[in-house]
Parts: sequence; structure tokens; C-alpha cells
Amino acid sequence: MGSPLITRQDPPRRYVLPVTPKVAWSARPGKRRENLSRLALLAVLGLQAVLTLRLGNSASPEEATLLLNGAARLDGTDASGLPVVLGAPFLYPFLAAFAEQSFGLEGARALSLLAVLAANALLYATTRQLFGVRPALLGAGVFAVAAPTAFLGNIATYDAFSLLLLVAAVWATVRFSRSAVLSVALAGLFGVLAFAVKFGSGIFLPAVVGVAFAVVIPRVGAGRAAARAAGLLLVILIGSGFLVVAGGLSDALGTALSGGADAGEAGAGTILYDATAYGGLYVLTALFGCFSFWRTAAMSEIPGAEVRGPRKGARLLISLSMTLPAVVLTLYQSVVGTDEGSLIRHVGIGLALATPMAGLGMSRMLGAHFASPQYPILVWIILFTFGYGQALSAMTAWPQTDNLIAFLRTEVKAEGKYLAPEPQTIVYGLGRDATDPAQWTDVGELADAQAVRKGEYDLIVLDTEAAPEINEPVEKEMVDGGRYRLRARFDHSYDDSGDYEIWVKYR
Amino acid sequence: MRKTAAAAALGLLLAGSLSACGTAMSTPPNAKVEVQTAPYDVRPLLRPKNKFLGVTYEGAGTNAKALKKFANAAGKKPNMVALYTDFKEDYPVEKVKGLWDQGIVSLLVWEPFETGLGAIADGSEDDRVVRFARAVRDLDIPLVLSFAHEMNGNWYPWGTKKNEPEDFLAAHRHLHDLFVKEGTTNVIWLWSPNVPSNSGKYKFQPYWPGDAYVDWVGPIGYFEWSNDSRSFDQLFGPSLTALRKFTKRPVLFPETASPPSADKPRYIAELYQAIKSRKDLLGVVWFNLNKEHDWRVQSDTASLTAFREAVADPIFGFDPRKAG
Repeated sequence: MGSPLITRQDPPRRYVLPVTPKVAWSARPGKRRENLSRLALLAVLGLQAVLTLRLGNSASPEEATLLLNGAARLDGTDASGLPVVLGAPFLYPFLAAFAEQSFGLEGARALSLLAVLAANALLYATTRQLFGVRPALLGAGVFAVAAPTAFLGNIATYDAFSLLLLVAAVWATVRFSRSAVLSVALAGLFGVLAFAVKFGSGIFLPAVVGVAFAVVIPRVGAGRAAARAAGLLLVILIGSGFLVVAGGLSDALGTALSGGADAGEAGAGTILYDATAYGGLYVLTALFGCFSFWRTAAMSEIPGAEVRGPRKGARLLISLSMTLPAVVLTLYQSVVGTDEGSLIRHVGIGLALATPMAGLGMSRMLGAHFASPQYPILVWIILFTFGYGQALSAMTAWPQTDNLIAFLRTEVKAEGKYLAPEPQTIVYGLGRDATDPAQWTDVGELADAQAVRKGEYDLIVLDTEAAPEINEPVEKEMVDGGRYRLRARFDHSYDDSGDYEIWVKYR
Repeated sequence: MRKTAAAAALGLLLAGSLSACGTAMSTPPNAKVEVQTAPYDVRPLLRPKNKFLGVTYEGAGTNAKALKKFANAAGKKPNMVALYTDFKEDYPVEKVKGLWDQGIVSLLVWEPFETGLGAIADGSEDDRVVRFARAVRDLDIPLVLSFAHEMNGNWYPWGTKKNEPEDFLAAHRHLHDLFVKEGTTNVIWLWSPNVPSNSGKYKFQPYWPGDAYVDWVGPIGYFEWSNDSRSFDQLFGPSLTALRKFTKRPVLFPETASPPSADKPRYIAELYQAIKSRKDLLGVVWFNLNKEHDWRVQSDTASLTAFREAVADPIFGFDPRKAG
């Protein structure tokens, strides 16, 4: 009989249930998520660039003015025959002319695209700092497709840079909110530069100060926030004043304050209507973001997680400081008047400031964990669709001069005397070597109509879309004098609404 | 329920803003400004260095044989041919192009036989005129256009019997304006009154549309008409003096001739000599038809000889395609 078989058995392992976290992921953005969001931002900026670059037209009168002034400054030649630049001529015009001389008009326009792309990236950074990655991406997504974004990115004017600098000022107040000195100094610098680049952007500086005040309340309290805002205001005022005096800009500023290039005929109703068309849905989205933010500081999918955020009052202040400028400035412009070409630029800056709240609005529509994607998708598609068409209309609002310029190359001479609407576009299009600005008189500023009757101009260009009070005196003198003959008529509009008439003197 | 309300509210907000969104979208997405080249430049033809040698003949513009016959007889090819066209007809594209291809510019005499000047002036005929103007523009060949010629006489329906000078002026200016609006710049506008004669003092100035509407003035007169036999100076002299009181536009004689007579060779010689010697006289269109009288230069040997000798001067006849 043997001993019973005894097998060795391992003692059973003791299974210890691990501690289960409430959620399987962290609410804090990880490295991977940050990288993904940056990739997504790049894709958004790529879309913005594509939407911008598809637009095209010959140089606008304002582009021509700025580029000619800049070129004159670069060459050290006289720019007295050109319209006044309503900003510091040694800033944007100089930079744009430099790009233009190397890469042509497209080169100067590419600068604007870079500026608006940078502005959107800063808006992303600002929104991310304030509300998180998702609203930041959604904000960048709506800003990328808005009509003013594509338009401002495709015209070689100071608007893109003033937009970038204003956005940079807001970004600085948020990014460096921990340091009063740094935030005030940087935001002040950007604000002063924005004003110097384009005097008209001065009307947005109070909005920047308002944002600077509101966004730091949760961190430093209302009193210190007010002190910072006051400091910023002081820096901007002193800096701007210094620039105007030191830069000899008082005359140009006076022109800008008296209406300047923005003075227009559009009535208040038209301005409000057009502003609504350009930014109505955008602002509504931002207002929805305001409302939602006011009600709830943050969404969280983490069960039981403590949601921290500013108090209701501060939330309301932050929301409105960023959203109301778009509304208030539109109302202001409807009262003082502007032309429709300037409207889209100002609306663009208003929309940029409202972008964080629009991004938040989109994010709140999306809901926790993509609960209702249909709403933000719907809004985005509508914004995209209308932005697509509106940007094209804005870009084709001024006459296309290609046919006219090609024809005039064979007609103009260095000693000729010419009359034309907004002749800076022709001077620019022909090239500064072809004619001097002093050889050209603007039809709209013709002081001596008798000169037409006497045949003092070798060639007269009329735009059939110009106001009757501009064309009719010239037409009457041409009939009475009998010294001119129609040489050519060229379509200049994208919707077949206007022509250039070229009248030449009988030889 | 809450979601439905939210969706409805959002829908309302969207509708509110969308109603305005369409306003700034006037440009069609694929709109382009068409590349256009400059139209034919007729300026070199307005005051050319050499003179126009013009002719009217039976079957003008279509009868190549007749044209050749005239050229052979005259010893020189003409560079202008008059085409008489009713206002209701379409632009004779083939004729004008066919002549131009031979180095001949067309003088189109536009006759509103069945269309009142009032109807032209008030825009009732605009569709027809615009169609005509576009055809002229699109052919892009120079055209001399004379509307309602001899308007100061009483023999045509558009003449003084039924119309006041203002009627002609309004119609002429309206036509000109329509052509301008259509960008038809290749037309040389010729204003053709009849010269005063022994049988009537036809006024000029009340019918003058103005320098802005006319490129050339074209007094019409015949050397012998109803026993009214005159030299060049007698026929055209007073008219040229009268014209120069209100315009400096150059002169082309668009219709002149002489019936067979002993003086016909002299008339021919005087006419071409005057044109040759004066810078403001651009040329002449000889009415080379055998109609009522034999107006042709070939009516007799002496006249033909005089014509051949007169136009032999290199100043007469040039290729208008090479002017400039």
C-alpha cells in the first residue's frame, strides 16, 4: 500500500480589485489631445487659406493707394499726388510695398493672409485659455469660414494687420493675466500699433480695454481688474498720442476723424441690414454662448466632478465684453455712416472679438459628449455657405481694371493729362514708371469742369456705375465742347452692371 | 420637450438672421469679367494723310464686276463705297466685310423711309437700333454712317415737309447715344445736308447736331441740277464757308456728280483739285450711276479722261486698313 498521492497545489492568488477611477480618462488635456487639437487647428487654418485664396480681383482703390504710398516711401519719391493714408505710412504701406516689389500684388495680399491666419491662431489660443480646447477649435472653425475673414485675408490693406494686432492685444490680456505689468505692457503695445496701422481701428480699443477688464476679474477681482484696465487705457492713450506727434500723423488723423475714406452714402437701415447679413448668425451664436456661459460656467462629462468657473456676474461681463463690440459698433456705424466696403472690415473685427463666445456657443450646442452635433453642424454649414458667397461679392465689389489697364498702356504718355475715377488704381496698374500720379485727376474731385470743355485732358475714363452727380457734369462738358470721342467701352463688373468708357481727344 | 423648444428657438434665430444673409451675395460664384480687346481704332481714318476716292455704283457691295469695271475705267481702285440701306434693314455685314477685305471702307447711307424721326428719337426703335449697333460693333470694321441725309431738303420723308430740325437732331443724337452705350466706337459719323441751290436755300445750322455727335460733315450737291450749273466754288464754296462758322470738322463730299455736259471735265478737275489742295477736305464719293442722267465718269471720253488724270495723283486712294 502506498502513501496517498499528494499533489502540490499553489495557494490560490488573492485577487485585489483595483481602485476604479470615476472616469477612465483625465479631464485635463493630455499631450496626445493637445497635438491632435493643434493638427485640427492646422486643418482649419488650411481651410481658411483655401477660402481666402480662391478670391481674386484687380487692385482696389485702397490697395492701390497704400501700395503706391509705400512704394514712394521705399523709393524716397513724392507721394503728394496720392490720396492720404489713414494710418502711419511708415508701417503697413512700407511693409506691403516691400512685399509687392518682390512678389507683386499677390505678395502683398499674402501678407494679409498670414496676418489673418495668425489672428485666428491667436483667437484659438485665447479661447483655449478661457474655455478649453473644444470651444477653441469650434471658434477657429467658424471664424475661418466667415466672409470678412476670407475678404480681409485677400486684400492688401492695413485691415488684416489691425485685426491681428487687436486680437493680439486681447490674447495678451488673457495669456499673461497672471502678470499685470506684462499683460498691460503687451496689450498696450499691440493696441497702440493697431491704432497706428489704421486709425479707424481706434474705435475697437475701448472694446479691448473692456475685455482686458472682464477676463481678469475671476483671477484678480474687480478692483485690480479695473486698475489694469485703466493702466491699459493710459498706455494706449499715451502711446497713440506719442505716435501721432512723433510720427507727424496729425493731418492724416484729422482726415480720418472727419470721415476719410470710410465716409459713405449708405443709410442706417442699409448698414444694419448688411451688417446683419455679414455677421448676424455669427453674433447670434456668440450670444447663445453668452447665455449658456452665464447659466453654466462649464460642461463636464465627469460624474461628480466639481465644475469651477467664474461667478455669474463675471461670466456675464466676460461674455458681453467680447460679444457686444460687434453689436455696438455696428449700431455706431449705422449712426455715423460708412461705405459698404468698410462695413465688412469693421464687422470682421467685431466678429473676431466675438469668436471665443461663438466657439463656446457652438460647443454648448454640441452638448456634452457630442450629444447634439446637428445644431453646430447646421450653423457651421450656413456660416460657410453664406461666407463663401459674401466674401466673393465683397471681393468683386470694385471695378476690375485688367481690360482698362491693358488698353491704357497703349494710350498714356509721360506728358499726358488724364481724368479718371479713382485714378490711383490706374496709376498702380500701369506701373509707376508709366505715369505719375500728378498727371491724373479724379473725376469725383474735378474742380474745373470747363477744362473738359476746353479739351485739356488727353483722355477721360468714366465709370458708368458712378453716381450721376459725378459723371453728368463731365458728360455735359464733353457734349458742349465736342472735343472727345468714345474710343472703347469695357465691362468692369462681375455682374454685368458697369462699364468703363474711355473717351479720347480729337487730334 | 425641452429639446424641441431649443430646436424651435434655434430655428427662429436662424431664420431671422438668414433672411438678411442673401443681400451681400450679388455676385454669382463663377462670375468673371470677360477679357476684352480694344475695338478697331478709327482715329487714323478721321483725318488721313491721303484722300478718299469714293464711288457709288449699281449693285454696290455685291456687284464685283461693276466695281472692277469702274476701277479699270478710272485707272485706280476706289477706297470708299456708298451703300444705301433702309433703316429697317439689318446691317449688311457681308457687303461691308467683302469691301473691307478689298481695302474699301463702306459709307452706309441710312435711310428711314418708313420710320419716323419721332419714333427713332422716342426710343420706339431702340431694339432695332441696338441690334444694328451691336452688329456694327461685333464686325469691328470701320464704317462711315450717314443718317437721314439731305434732311434739310423737302424731298425725303425725313425732310422738312414733315419734320422740324429738332426732330432730326433728337433722332440723330439718340442714335449716337445708343451706339455709345453699346460701345460701338468703329463708326465715323457723317452729317450730310444738301447744299443750297438756285431752287432752294437749304439751311445748315438748325440741323447741326454738334461736334460731339459728328466726325465728318458731308455737303451733298450736284454740278448741274434743274438748270443750276455751277463750278466747284459756286456749288460748294458757300457751303464750306457756312459750315466753318459752326464747326471745324473735316469734310467729305458723300454724293456728287455731273450729268454729261461740256463743263463736266472741268467740274471733275476742279473738284479733285480742291480736295487735293485743302487739308480739311477728305475726299469724295462720285455718284457713278446712270439714273435719270448719266452721272457716271464714263459718260463721255473727255470726262473719263479728266477723271483719270485727276485721280492719278497718288494722294487719291489709299488702303484704309493700313492707315495710321
